[in-house]
Amino acid sequence: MVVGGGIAGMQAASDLAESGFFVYLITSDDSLGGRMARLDKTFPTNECSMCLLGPRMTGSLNESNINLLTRAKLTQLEGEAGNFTAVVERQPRYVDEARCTGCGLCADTCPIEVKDEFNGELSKRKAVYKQFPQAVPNKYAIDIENCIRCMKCTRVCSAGAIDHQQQSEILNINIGAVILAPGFESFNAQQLGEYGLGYYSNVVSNIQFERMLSSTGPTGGHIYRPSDGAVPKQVAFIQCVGSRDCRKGYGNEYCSAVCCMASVKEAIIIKEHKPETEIVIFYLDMRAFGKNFDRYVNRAVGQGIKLQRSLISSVKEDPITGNLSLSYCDKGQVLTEEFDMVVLGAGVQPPKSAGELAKAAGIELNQFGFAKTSYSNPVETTRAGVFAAGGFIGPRDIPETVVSGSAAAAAAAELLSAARGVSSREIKYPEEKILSSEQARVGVFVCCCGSNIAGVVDVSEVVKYASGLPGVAGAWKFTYSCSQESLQKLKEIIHEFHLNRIVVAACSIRTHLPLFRNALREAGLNQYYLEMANIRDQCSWVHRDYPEEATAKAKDLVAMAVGKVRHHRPLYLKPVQVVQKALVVGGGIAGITAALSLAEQDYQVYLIERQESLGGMLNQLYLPQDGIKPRELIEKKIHAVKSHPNIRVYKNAELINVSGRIGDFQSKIKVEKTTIELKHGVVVIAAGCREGNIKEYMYGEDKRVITRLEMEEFLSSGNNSLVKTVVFIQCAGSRQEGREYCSRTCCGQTVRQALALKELNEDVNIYVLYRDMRTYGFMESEYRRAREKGVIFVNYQPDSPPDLQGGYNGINIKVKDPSSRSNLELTADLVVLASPAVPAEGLDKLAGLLKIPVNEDGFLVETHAKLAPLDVPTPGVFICGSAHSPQNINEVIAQAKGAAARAAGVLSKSHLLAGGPVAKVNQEKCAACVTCVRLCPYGVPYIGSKNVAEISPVQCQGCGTCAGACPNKAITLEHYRSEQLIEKVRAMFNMEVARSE
Amino acid sequence: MSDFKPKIVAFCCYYCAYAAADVAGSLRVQYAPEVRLVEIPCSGRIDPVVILKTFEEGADGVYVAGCLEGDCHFLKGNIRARQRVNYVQKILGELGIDPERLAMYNLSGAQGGRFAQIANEFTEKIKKLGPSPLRGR
Repeated sequence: MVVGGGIAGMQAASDLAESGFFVYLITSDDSLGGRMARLDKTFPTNECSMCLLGPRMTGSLNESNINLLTRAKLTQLEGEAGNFTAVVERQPRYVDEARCTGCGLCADTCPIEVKDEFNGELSKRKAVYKQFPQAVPNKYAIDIENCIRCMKCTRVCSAGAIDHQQQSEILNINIGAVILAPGFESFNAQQLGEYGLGYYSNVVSNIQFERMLSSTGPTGGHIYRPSDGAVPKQVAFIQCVGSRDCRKGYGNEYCSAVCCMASVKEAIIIKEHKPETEIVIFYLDMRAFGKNFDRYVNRAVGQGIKLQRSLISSVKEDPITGNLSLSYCDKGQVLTEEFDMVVLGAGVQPPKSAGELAKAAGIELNQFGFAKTSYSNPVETTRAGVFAAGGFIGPRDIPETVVSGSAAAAAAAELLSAARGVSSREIKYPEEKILSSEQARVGVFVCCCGSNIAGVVDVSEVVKYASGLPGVAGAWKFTYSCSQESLQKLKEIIHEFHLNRIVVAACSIRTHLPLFRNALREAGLNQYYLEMANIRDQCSWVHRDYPEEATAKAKDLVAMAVGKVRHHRPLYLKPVQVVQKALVVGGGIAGITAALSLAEQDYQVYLIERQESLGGMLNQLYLPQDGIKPRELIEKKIHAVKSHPNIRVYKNAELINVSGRIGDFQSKIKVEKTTIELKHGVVVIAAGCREGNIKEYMYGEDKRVITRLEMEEFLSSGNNSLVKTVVFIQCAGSRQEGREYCSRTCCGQTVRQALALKELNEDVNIYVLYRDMRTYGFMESEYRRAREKGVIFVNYQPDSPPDLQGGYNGINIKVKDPSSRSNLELTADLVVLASPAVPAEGLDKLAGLLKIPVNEDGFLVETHAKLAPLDVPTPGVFICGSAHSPQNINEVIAQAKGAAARAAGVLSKSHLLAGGPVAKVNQEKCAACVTCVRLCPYGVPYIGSKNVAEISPVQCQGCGTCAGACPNKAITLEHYRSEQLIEKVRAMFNMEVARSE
Repeated sequence: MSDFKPKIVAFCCYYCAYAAADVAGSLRVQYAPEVRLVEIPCSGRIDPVVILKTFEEGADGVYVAGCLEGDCHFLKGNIRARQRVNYVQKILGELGIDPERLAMYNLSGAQGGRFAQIANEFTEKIKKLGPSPLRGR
């Protein structure tokens, strides 16, 4: 059972369902989606949050092995790990889900209006309502507290779905494990009266602001001042509202970890709307610690967004203009500036229900009220068989939330491996209609994507044009074609109009093709009778200033899709066997954790490590982190690996060749002088990172300058009697030209090392020279403790880095302190450099072998930065750990478990489906010229016993290189036959020719 | 010549060029609206007949966009594509069509900005060359 319908819960549920388990997904909300549904866009790609979420929600609803229960709460959990009885209380919706069609007539007639909490109370909703337009399930619900039982909705509902008499029900459900993912809440910034939220109308919270930016939000995606509807010209963001605040009752001590990037994103989006807007972000430390975050912040600065390091103590309103003035300190001066609007970067806190849920599930919470989990297994709670995921564990961003969802799924699957496949169900699609002899009847569906497409492209015009195209039986317009409601309608229209070919003009095939293919299957059509036209990502989004040209282009793209789809043929997939074994590359904490998780899930694992011993980076870390000693942890895990019957370890081993495909890879590894061949179904890359070279700060010239790894060793030796003054220099080799990223782990490590020094000798003077202290999340407490112990933190600017001179008495350091505007001179016995984390040696080569792209910094690139952080474009290959980006140990462990869950999704199946758009040989035309044999990058074609080329549909990767080169055109690439491509192009140029056919 | 709105067809591989076009979209990088994208699984799928047919139908310019050389998702498809583009350029010359109307580009799936730059560059070039002699035949 998964408790929580946000992105963490959905990820956990879908990974488990994919691995052959039956999942009850329960949410106290009316819809899936959680917090992410409220966000407008996600960084760094500024993709529409709802567009990412839509397919996920629909996928969770449609997955046959997920039983979704809305308005449901876990109230009691009896029994033990592997055999629980969960007591679930289901509140009535007062709307029969089976009957409701989501038409909305009930809400239209309802006379009661109340504040809409989904939109941050900036707009009204009815007492009978749908949480948000894209809600899944697409069903209405009644807010019974505000309902006056006028029965108007009952009368207007022709489906008879409204039932005011519905009663709550208690369900007893037998389950093996529970994953708690109830999410988090925003800090209520009204608690901080000095910022004026709730008093001054032009002060809004970040969540309210996200809703304003959303095209389905209260202002339709436009930014207006709540007081007078004017477009704001000057906007201020105030960070750390309710975070990093030690005063009782004024917020939380920890850092909320997500607000810095959220505000930067919101600022960039304002700039997209109105480039002339002046924006200032008032912050304490810019905590852009994640993958590609610093680049994103630099982009914001490049766009003219001002970052001002200053704590704002209060906001004052001019009662006449509604403008807000802020006073802040810069270069020793107190300045006052006026803004039209202020956005509060309110932090996150545990959900109100956390206490109740913890009690029901029998788990403990930590001192901040989040689920208490262990550092070495960040999804494990204090009760066996109960796991936690997402924001319930602590503040985290979307990708980390997704990772923890997968990790919790892996933990549950390890526990329940014996029950895998026992209660799962198979999806049954209706039998396909045989249509090959029928004439093409194309249905065209044009998506508005809210205002994403319709804001630029004249969608009605495109629909009108499409309906006149040859072969088209009808064209329809959808506000959101990916919504549950639209998909249902699409299926109905297919039946009603006897459509046999479908064109969806919407967004990218990269994200939405599977969703619409599935809809076709459900409607009894072959899934390949579909073509998409990308009129959003490749049209409306990129031709915003040319609406006419964009509309013309959209028409062409639709015509082209129609031209091609008319020549589509049905294609069928054949089941092929899966080798249910995994290859894990890298024997550090990431690889070891992934290997152990898969082994516990009862799969065989080959674990290969380049070095002569396992353990990786953790072998060099001495200081305990959250009470766990890294070296002890890794030794324990190495022992578990060595004694596990399902794991085979190869040390001094290197991957030299990979062939095959998902489910059936053949790899060659070189172990010392011998080459070994392995067969496996998946690959997990856990190649880690290493300490980068430092050229700055006299490193290598003076022995008193050491790196943070060398400091770990120094501290373990206990030999620190001579040290009186220690200076730490942060960002040595990170966040600079050529290495534009944050190494993430250093600030926390520096604070740990400083505290360890103080513990050994209270009198030692410690200075930390930093740019931004990035002790995000709960690490903030350690940072505070270090300051209490007398560690002095001095900020420096990248344009005036500390200057070091070697001297007899120590190293003389000069640094300019921007807050006091004075030059500080220090003499240190020891200088510790926060050295950068860089990709492991040979990662580029490994990436090349597996066709994984690497980013500008040399780290592996995942399929999707937000929702697929552990997948890569090559099917069957997964990534985790510091090869993805620099990370702390607990984060690496979560990713490794997550990657194991993703891999288990493949390994749990005995067969995968192959074929479809692959190369096909017309044997009568083949002259056995061996061009294809010569050119195929995978060596698939061969000349068979009939003296003609043969291409196995299972092995064929579908690139079409052979089809492009075949001199006699004997080879076609299905779905991309020359005829189809030519018709696609022709449709754009010559509708007349096509019409006369 | 300034009202000449060329029609340009870009054969884009799914893994890099099409992905880069999506990235350009999500970053809202604005570019010339004259380019019409045709998705193919790999630039190696392109064949001379399809390119020539595209010109025959009336395209003023055609380009094939694949992954960076050495980084092709299908290993070497983009190398084959380049060879074929070079070959078709020769034929175009023989037919009296400026071979500049056909080009091969390479970019990675993350290079949204580069995708836009290519679209702008190529559109500019075709605008200078004027309508294809085969247009409106």
